[in-house]
Amino acid sequence: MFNKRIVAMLLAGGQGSRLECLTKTIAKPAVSFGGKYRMIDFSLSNCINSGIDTVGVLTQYRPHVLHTYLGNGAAWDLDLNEGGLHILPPYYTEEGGNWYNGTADAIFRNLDFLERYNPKTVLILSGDHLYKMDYHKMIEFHDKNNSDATISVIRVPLEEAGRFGILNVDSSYRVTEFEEKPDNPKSELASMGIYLFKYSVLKEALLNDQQDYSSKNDFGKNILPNLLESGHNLYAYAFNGYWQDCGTIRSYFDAQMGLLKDVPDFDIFDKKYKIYSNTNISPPHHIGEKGNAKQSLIANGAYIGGSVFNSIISNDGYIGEGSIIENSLVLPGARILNNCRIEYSIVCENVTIKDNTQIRGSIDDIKVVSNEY
Amino acid sequence: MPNMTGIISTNYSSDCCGALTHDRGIGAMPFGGRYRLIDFPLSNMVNSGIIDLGLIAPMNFRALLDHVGIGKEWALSRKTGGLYILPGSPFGLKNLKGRFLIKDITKNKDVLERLPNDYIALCATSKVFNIDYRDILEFHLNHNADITLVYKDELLRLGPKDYSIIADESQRVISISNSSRDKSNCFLDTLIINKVTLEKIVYEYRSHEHMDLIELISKNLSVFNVFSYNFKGYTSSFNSIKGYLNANQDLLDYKINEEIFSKARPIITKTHDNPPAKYTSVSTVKNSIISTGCIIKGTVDNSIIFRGVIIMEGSVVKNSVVLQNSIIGENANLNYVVMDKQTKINDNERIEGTSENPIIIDKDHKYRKDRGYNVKSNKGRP
Repeated sequence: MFNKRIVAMLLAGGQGSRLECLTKTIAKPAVSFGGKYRMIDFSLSNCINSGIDTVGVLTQYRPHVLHTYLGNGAAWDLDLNEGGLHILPPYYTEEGGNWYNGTADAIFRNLDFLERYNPKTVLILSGDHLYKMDYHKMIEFHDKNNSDATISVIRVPLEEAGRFGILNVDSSYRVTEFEEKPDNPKSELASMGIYLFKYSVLKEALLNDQQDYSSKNDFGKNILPNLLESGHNLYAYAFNGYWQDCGTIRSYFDAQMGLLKDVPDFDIFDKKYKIYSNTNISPPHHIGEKGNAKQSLIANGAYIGGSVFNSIISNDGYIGEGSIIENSLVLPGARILNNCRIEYSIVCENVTIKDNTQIRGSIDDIKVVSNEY
Repeated sequence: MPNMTGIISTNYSSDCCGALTHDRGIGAMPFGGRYRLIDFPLSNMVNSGIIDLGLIAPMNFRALLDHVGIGKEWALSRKTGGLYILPGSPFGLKNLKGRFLIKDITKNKDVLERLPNDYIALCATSKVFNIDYRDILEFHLNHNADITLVYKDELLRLGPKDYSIIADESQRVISISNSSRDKSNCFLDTLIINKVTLEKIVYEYRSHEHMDLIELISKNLSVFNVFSYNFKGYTSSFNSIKGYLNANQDLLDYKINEEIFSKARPIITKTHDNPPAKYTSVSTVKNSIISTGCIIKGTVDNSIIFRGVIIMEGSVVKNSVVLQNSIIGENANLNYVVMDKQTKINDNERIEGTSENPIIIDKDHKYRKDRGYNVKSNKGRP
């Protein structure tokens, strides 16, 4: 028993089917992002930048790339004697075994892991959000209000609120009502899928949830509404920074294009708030005699023989001579040979595109180029 | 695992690159955008399966050990074997002549004795190449050699510390000399020696500790079986700031780049968690190597830009090497310049070197000519 003050549980088992073939062979948190990162880097970096040194990562769907990438957590300074990064896959017990069946079920099945650390507070995170957040500010808010559960929320325009899980609150931000994708939203506070629980409250709620056979074992749909109903203290913590869920092709593409602006939505160059990643060790990228790059991000190991405009070329990408890449994402190891033209497309990892190929998406129709293309 | 212990000597100094080599050991010399020279021998040995590896550190080891640490990046932080940091003698700082001081080996012979391998792969850290030591060991065993010296049979820029090797048809070494300059068959500061042979030499010359191993080998060519191994791959070496610039620019050749940074035998280095390099709508870049964390708003041509460099709008950087975290202001113009780490060029400054005499911008922000340490101009500098 270590008595950690806080333990983070990062839900990384989802398939992410809305990312189509990007998640065909790898879990959503392991999907490449911003040239050299993978989605999970942002949440893990937030943890270590907020001083949280104990993180359980719950994995299930296609875990190999993700597991290899996480390793022992050393890339995020999470290789510690007490605490650090733990990979938590589903496992078999004397009563049999099951896959994780919903977000709450995944945490329930790892209660014995939490018990070892006996934390005061448990932070529940997702592995596919782009944001920088000092979780300690949220914990302070949680403690100050003696909250049983605190949900991080972000303001969205009222007309868009219908797409989110919306929280109605009183003047002290105490939650009065949950509404899942309401037709007539009363509030503009959307849940970010980041929750803080008193461990004792969480444990009880998870045990009760398992007794309810009609439950979907989901935090948003079951655990939190049930806690509110049973009279617990629930608070909404309003987050002011940039936050983006990258769970769809549209949001995944737009969030990365946002990195390319002169004043980016999300600053990966901020030296005070580093984003850590488990980088491969490739040489610096090489722009050839006839190469050029404008308004782009280019990662290590890349070779640019052609022209790259408003695009991201990831680790070990290859752009042949005469090829023009515009408004596109070229994921790690992808090779675009000579005289190709790629517009508004996402070229998946390790895909090779032959000479003279033209792939043109449009701003409203992003083409995803996988092996089957 | 090959039956080899690796020893890398970094305990010698060099004044070949003026201000760049003035304060840092040669092993810590930055190279190729994100590397330091020590990465090449270290990675070569690790890629050859060597896990018992001694690093003879110079007295001014800070920059070197900042970089190498306990060898985590090279997977040398391990229970069996791993990286041994071996203290070099203070004499190394003044050692402008040789690269393998006998004293450094004598002082650390306990480690050599303790390690179980019968062969020692020795190498210095001034030259850049990608080699597999297992090939040399195979040659060494096939020739029943006591010592195998690795050389390159083409014209390299030989400096005062470089030896050239003359061998007969059977590759047996006839003479080793360091008197001639610009001669072919350049010794690559890389050799394999039987442990017993090394122990014998060290014992017999224990009262001549200040001498260099290569010097002693050349005196004993009739005593030992000394063979030479012709390395066919690309090699670069430099003895001046011009050579340093050219060696970096060699990496702009796609073939050379692919060979040095081979995917099968990657050169490993310390990672910095920098974001990818960013280009803006006004940047123009060609024939250049650009590292992570750079923000390029100007024009870059035929240059090597290290990590975290910022080049502002309107600036033109040509035929230059810009080391880590340097800043080039707006509308500046650089041609044939080598900028040290964390230096700054002000807006509208114009610095023109020539291909024969590139200008070094050192950490004191003064312009110094190669070798001569002439302060060329200090105008407009903070």
